[in-house]
Amino acid sequence: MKGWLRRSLEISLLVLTAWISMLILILFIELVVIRVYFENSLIRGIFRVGLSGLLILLWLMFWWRLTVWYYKRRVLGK
Amino acid sequence: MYILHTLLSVAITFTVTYILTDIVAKYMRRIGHVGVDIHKPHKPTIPTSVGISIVIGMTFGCIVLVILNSTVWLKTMVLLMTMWICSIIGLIDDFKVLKGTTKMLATVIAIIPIIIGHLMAPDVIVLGRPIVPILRRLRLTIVYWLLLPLAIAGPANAVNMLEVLNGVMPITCSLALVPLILACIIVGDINVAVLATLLLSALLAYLPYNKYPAKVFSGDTGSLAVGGAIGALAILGRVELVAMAALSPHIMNAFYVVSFMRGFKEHREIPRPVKVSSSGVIMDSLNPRAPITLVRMIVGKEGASEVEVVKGITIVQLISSVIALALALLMR
Repeated sequence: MKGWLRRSLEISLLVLTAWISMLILILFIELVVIRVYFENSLIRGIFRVGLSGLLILLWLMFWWRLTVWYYKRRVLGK
Repeated sequence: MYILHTLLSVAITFTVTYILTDIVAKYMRRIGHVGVDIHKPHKPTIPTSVGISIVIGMTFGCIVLVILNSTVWLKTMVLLMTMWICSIIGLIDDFKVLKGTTKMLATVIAIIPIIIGHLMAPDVIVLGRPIVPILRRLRLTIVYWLLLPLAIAGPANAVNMLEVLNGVMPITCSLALVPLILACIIVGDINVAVLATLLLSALLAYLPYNKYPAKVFSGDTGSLAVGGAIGALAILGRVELVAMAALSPHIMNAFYVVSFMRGFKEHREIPRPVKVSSSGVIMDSLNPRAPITLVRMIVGKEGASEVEVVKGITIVQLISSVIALALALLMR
């Protein structure tokens, strides 16, 4: 299989991985994080938005690391 | 009857775009507005900003659609205004070269027609609580409004950033529109599905001129407009998640560039991620200061021809469109 074709298919697999993990994250946020209840509406808002934002940021960092790993390992062959 | 209206509008959009692309290309070459095709060894000059023909073709098709079916006037008007704002920003950038941050911030104003449309008729243009699989509606509330300014600027600039090779923009955006059209039909918004079909027909009319070897470049004029239109269609049809999945290659590429460069930079400020050999093979520049891009990942160290890279990007887009289609079907 030619290099460009193999890498295109691998990148497609990365895209699929990203979407599956993102959907799991969205489900977790909607079904768990959003359902945590605090009496104080300000604390409730800060908790929900803050934790959701943190989880999404972590997911983006994971995605970035995965890409850099893929590029160095599979593209450059280091 | 509605099918006949749609077919007529599609035919007019296609015909106007196809004829106008050639006319605009000749005009741009006459006034000396050309770009260099840097991925060819002989570096030919190609008329640029020809993407305006897509916007004009869409305008004609939309006018006919509204004449035949006046109930769609508000969504059509909002879509056209969004496209034109993005296109004008792109035209200014093509002639005057704006800074990356300036271009990004300028495209944010393209959300204004959608917000005005929502304020005029909140039951027609519904904002907030996007539809997602399984959960049906997300409880984003205030977060949705904070993210809304990026809803047009994001896809517009993402499509613009990936438009680096012949034919990439019309091919990838056409494939991205297919699941979007199906998603709109599934959620019951036939009007937005029709508008998306008009955009698809404009892109298919443009493709013969832009595919390898390209005779025209769309410039920022075309790519910002098409990306902005896809963003607008996603909001109008309430299929934001499907659009995000469909535009995965563009969003991925934009994310890598922005993350690596730590901000929005004009493409001339970005170190070149690839180089072209004398035989036309595109390969990794191995420059550690250059961002990781989709093209760079596909060509690798051994390189690939421009046609092969475009095929590679098309494969990634096809998979993304299948994912988007799966999400659309899960929304039923």
